[in-house]
Amino acid sequence: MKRLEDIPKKNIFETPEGYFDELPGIIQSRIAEKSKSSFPFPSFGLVLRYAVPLLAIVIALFLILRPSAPQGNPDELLASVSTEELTYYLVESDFTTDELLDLVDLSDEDINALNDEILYPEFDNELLQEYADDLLLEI
Amino acid sequence: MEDTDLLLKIRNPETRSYGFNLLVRAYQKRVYFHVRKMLIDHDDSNDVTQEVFIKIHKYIDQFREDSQLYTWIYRIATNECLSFLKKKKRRFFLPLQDVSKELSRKIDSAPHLSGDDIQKKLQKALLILPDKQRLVFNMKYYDDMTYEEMAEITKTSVGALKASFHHATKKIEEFLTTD
Repeated sequence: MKRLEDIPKKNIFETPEGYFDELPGIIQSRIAEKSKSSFPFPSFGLVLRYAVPLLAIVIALFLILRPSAPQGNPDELLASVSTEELTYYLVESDFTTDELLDLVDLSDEDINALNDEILYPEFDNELLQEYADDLLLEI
Repeated sequence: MEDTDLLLKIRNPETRSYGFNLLVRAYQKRVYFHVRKMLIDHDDSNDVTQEVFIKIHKYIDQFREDSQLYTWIYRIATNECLSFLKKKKRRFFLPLQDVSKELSRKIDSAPHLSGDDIQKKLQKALLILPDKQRLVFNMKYYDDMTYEEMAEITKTSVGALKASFHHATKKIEEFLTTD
């Protein structure tokens, strides 16, 4: 086996002429260039490291905490609610009839119709007859 | 000039530039040849040597003199070499074998190389070793470093370094005999 100690130890690597005379100057000028180009503003790396995650957190908080605004216009939304649900809501709520009437912008025609219904209700003749028959039987 | 005098000059703002220039002049050959033995190619070694000194300039104020200046400088140079080789392999998607072959070809064809056939054959034998083992071999065989100094530079135990050097020597001698 060939032994390592049989081989004379020698550095076979060479450099271009004058290389080590020029190298210190090249390094100094590269350092000077770097210190000139260093900006007083935060580096792009810093912006990426801190500002972007911060912005992402702010956006996420906004999306999570913002009041859930209904989409579409109010008329369309109201139209999408069934009459039964509306009636149920109004019955369950604390609104009085007067308060509800105040909220509604009624036309003259609507007011007259409501008055007629309240003051002069139209009775069903058949129902009246049944009611009368029941009374007679009780007597 | 002693390292402590160099550091004093570098730490004084008035003599910083002059002091650093002296440091480069004092260490440039050791750093360059340490790098060159790992990278083989002069242009690559020139780039990495410049980067090493730019890093030294950047971090010199953080050097606390817990270790000797030259082991600290060697550590920076060693890290730069290893990361350069890693990047090279990643950049060209080259497997380890191909990088070794490429460097081996450079031993035959690159300018600024002297030595007879057996010297070149030894350099080619070194290229069969993993990068870290090659580094250990170079520091012990060519730079005559003690295991303690090498342990400080590589942050590896003396025992592991001894084992690494022993394995490297065995592999090299096998290569020189068979190839």
